[in-house]
Amino acid sequence: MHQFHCPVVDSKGKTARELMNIAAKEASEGRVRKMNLIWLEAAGCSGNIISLLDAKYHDLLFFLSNVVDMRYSNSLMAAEGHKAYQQFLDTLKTEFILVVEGAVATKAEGRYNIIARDGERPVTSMEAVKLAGSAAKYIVTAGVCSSYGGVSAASPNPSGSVSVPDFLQREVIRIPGCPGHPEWIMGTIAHLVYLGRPETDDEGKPLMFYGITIHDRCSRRSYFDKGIFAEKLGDKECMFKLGCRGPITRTDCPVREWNHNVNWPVEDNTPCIGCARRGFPDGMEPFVRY
Amino acid sequence: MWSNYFYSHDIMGMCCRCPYFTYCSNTRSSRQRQFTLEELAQYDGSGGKPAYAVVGGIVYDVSLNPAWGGGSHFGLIAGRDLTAQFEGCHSMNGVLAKLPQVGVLI
Repeated sequence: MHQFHCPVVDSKGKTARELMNIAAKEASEGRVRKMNLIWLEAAGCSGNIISLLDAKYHDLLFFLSNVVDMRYSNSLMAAEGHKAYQQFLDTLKTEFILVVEGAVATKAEGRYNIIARDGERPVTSMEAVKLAGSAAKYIVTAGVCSSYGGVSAASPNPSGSVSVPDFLQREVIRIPGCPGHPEWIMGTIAHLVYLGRPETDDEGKPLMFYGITIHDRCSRRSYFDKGIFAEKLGDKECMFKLGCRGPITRTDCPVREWNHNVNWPVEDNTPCIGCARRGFPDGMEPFVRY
Repeated sequence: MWSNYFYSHDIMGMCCRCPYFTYCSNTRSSRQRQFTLEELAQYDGSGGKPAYAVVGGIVYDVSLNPAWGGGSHFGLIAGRDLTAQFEGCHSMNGVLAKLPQVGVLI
């Protein structure tokens, strides 16, 4: 008899909120062990830093007060120009977590994506990711573009974008999503800071968030099991025959939900498009098929 | 054990899971339906129609296969001979053995 051990059971005690509460307790007892963090926005849409700003349980202020010192962030830091880039260079000499969102554009020596200036010399994201990637203690790829290439690498890929692990040839922790949920990102980083590397699947995705498929927890699963399918968008039944990618996508969207845990795509009558998995978007198309 | 299904040609359901499926004479007629490429093209999974895919001359029903939402699979559409695409991606690791067979391509 095949024994199946659900990967989610063991991680039920390690929710994003619980991990952040550990951080708060450590801080209140004077044992703050905040790690430095560099957040690089490479060839992407900045969706993940915006997602992070939208966090509520806990929010970004809590994250920055108790878990990490964000030493460099294209969008959030106050410093500009060379002073900002100098802060990046200075942080490389410390112990830090590197978070990259957006893919690495490699065509034309990376000149499709300039993220800083070193004096007069433009600095490509390719150069910055290479520098930081070789020095970081942990590398976290936030979003599907840095994790798998994603939208930036979609056909015909004019910028030669590749995923961060493919570019660096180094093990990373992947937090895919379009964007990644802020609780996935903060929960994983809190785990890194206080409990070390979380348990991951063979693609480096933390099991506590990416352990089982959307299909396994879908609110419309009983319709699928009975073979009752939606014929058009707006029908309340299972949208598998319209192209839903829930059965092949591993996230906790049905239970965690989005925008302060209010709703998620299927319950808003649109099928899952597999935004948090390898192959998005080209391999997940067509998103809706009549 | 499977006698309830012998006369219902239920190859979508229980029969395809039976270890004797390949040898079973009761369901063989269902699996010997012949399709031309033209007939096959109708079964592309659109509009709620079944989704069939051909690999190695055998027609498989992928309508309820989790990886075939909306009759599409990583950029491929059902209702076609996908032998070349299958061989370029999947090793022979038992993927086909789990799929219900509905006929052969002629």
